[in-house]
Amino acid sequence: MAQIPTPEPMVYTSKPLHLPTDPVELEYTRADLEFHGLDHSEWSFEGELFINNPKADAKTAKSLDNGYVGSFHVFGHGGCYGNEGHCEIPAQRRAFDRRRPHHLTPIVKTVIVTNGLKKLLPKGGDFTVTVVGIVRGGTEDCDPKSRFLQFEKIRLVTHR
Amino acid sequence: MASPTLRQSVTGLSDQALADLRKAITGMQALTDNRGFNYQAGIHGVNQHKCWHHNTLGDNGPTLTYPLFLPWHRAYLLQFEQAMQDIAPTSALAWWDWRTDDPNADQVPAAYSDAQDPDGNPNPLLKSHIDYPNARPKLNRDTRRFPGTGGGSLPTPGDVNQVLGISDFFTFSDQAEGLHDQVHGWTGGNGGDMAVVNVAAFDPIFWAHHTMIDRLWWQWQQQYGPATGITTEMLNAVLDPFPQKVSDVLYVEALGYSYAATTSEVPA
Repeated sequence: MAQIPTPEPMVYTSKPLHLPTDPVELEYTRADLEFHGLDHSEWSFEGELFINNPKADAKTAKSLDNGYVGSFHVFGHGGCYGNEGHCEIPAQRRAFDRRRPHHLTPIVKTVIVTNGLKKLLPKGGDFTVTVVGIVRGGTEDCDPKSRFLQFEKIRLVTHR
Repeated sequence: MASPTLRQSVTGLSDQALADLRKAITGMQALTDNRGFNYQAGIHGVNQHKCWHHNTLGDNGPTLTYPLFLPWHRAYLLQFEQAMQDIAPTSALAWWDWRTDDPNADQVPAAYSDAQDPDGNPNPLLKSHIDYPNARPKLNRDTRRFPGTGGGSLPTPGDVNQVLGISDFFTFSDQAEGLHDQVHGWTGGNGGDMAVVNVAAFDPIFWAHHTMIDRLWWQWQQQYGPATGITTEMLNAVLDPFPQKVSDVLYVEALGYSYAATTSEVPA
């Protein structure tokens, strides 16, 4: 049996995002929720997304009635196995540094939420996104007190 | 003319094909040089950290404007399979079809979860020994796997079909990587190596999982075209540390392998 302690679920609720109310703009064919600057340095986790449901938590059923529109999964690195500084992301790169980006450079995750958003917000308007982060896996070298759900911003993008 | 290697489903392997796969992995696990399992697995995370995951397209920091996840792992599998065939010439990678509608299903194939092979030898597909004394912290232990203990579920057939229906390559790659991430977390679970980038490739099932992902890309290519949507800049990208560029790994037949649903052959 697995015996390692894991962090408790984390919940984050965004400030309101805006879906246009203009009928033409509501004819979008695809809507994405993008999570920029997402940390992936330790645990693997799932981020469950709920629209206009700031009370959502890890026990909330994944149903449209609860505002659930999908989730993203992060494949975490699992902590650091290097010497001091190995997992520190350089703040700046020299002009002629052609090496690839640091392996822990924050990532972008995109969740396609078209169907859920159309049903939950048929007339558009402001809405919040609650992200329920739940650890799905990791090893004993991950920090059990880690604040694993960290990102810089959420962006809504529609296409038509 | 040499026949291409046919990669098949783990659950569809003949006794001989499974024995060949086990022979190759056993042989690689016994080697401590750059032909060995530890060396090959160490390219991904500890201690070479060469893998390409999550594209870093975004507003901040050093960025790439194209996703190398699929081509990099194709080159990786290719090198690993060649090392397998150095030991067992008729061996091939096999894919683990993890799709399921049942969230409680134990989807790990018996070939990867049995403690022993039919001859009573330790099953080399169950676990492998990680030996990286220079890692900090040191790694000198057997791999572990606790599938499903982190909760969540595996992708459903519907999830996969939805991703295969995305015609834009960059979006397809991003969403396929999401399925890949989901399977890694589920398979490793709480305490298992598959769940983290650093040590995932040391678990032998990593290779069956990534063969499944490579097959999904192959299926997508059958539908939309091998190079559709890939920019010139990306085509010229080098898949470090492998000798290929992206443009070199688009046609699997030219790489000497293909994916078979079933096979049946008889001598003349």
